[in-house]
Amino acid sequence: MSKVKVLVVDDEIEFATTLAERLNLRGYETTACFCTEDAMALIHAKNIPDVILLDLKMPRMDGIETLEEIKKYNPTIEVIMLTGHGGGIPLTGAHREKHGPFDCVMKPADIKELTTKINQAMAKRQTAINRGKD
Amino acid sequence: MKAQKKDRLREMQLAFVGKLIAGFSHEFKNHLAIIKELNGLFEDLLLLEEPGQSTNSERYKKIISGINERIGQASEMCRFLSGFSHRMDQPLSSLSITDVLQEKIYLLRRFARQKQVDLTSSFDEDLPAIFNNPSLLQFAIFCIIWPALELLEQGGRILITVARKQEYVEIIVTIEGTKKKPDDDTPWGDMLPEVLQMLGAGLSRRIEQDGNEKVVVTISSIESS
Repeated sequence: MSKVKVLVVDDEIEFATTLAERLNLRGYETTACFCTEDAMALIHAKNIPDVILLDLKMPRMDGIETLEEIKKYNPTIEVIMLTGHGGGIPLTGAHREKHGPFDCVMKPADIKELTTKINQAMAKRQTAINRGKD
Repeated sequence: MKAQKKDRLREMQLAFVGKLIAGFSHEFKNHLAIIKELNGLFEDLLLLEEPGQSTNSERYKKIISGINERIGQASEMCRFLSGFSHRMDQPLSSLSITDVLQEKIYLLRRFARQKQVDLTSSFDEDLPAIFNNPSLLQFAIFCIIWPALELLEQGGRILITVARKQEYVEIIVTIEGTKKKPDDDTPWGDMLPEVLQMLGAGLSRRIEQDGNEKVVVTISSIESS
């Protein structure tokens, strides 16, 4: 069985690289990006991750805009938002339904909680891919 | 300056304080997240070692656990601080009395601990959401609890009970214990009637037979103008 491909996108380099290393130790194939532009370039280069862990607040293009771009490009990629923002994710109703993230995790996150959510997101992506094949 | 302009200025000043606190609590969370990941990686690498490879592994595990515990406490503090700062985003909003008051009580607990006063709370489970000013409600409760903390000798107790009374929510603050001359005599309590009027809330105070003081605030939704 092939490894689940995870992309961590966070402008805090130490956070992104350490989390990627910890996920790799747990059997995921993880890459870290430190800005949304690099993340989008990677996705457009057909290095499609299964699940993206995306920081909400980033310079220039923020997490919400990036989420929309990702979903427009490939709606089966599942995105888990990482946030330290107390006000939650500013998405409502139809917007959340159409372009929304799989889930949202508050920073600092627990690795067990993260891996559980990654696996659930992967299962959802797999179902969507299989449905597309039928 | 016209009263309306003064009020607007005050609102914006509050929003500015809120934005700064929100920004810093977000930044603290980022630092905590990095510390948590580094500590987690340390634990992961230690688990990968062969048994007996490190003579200090038990000590390391204890240190990792201690760091994790502190990260948990600091994160909780940041969560409440962040929530508190966002209360100032909008003057009026739909709010959960439980969330708003628990946040305030959590932030005041540090001061209660310092004064060795027991600050406890109890909330009904079926409290309705109301439309009102969350930041002002927190200030009103501060105006009751802070002077009480100043007045009570160590060993005193402040109990906050919140219950549903038909369409109202009743907040009862019971102040128990021996009183002393306050260190800080800022008249916070004097502000209370005006603040509660702005919230459309009612107030009653009484001294019970056992000498305990009861402050009762009744609040419901306010109409937006």
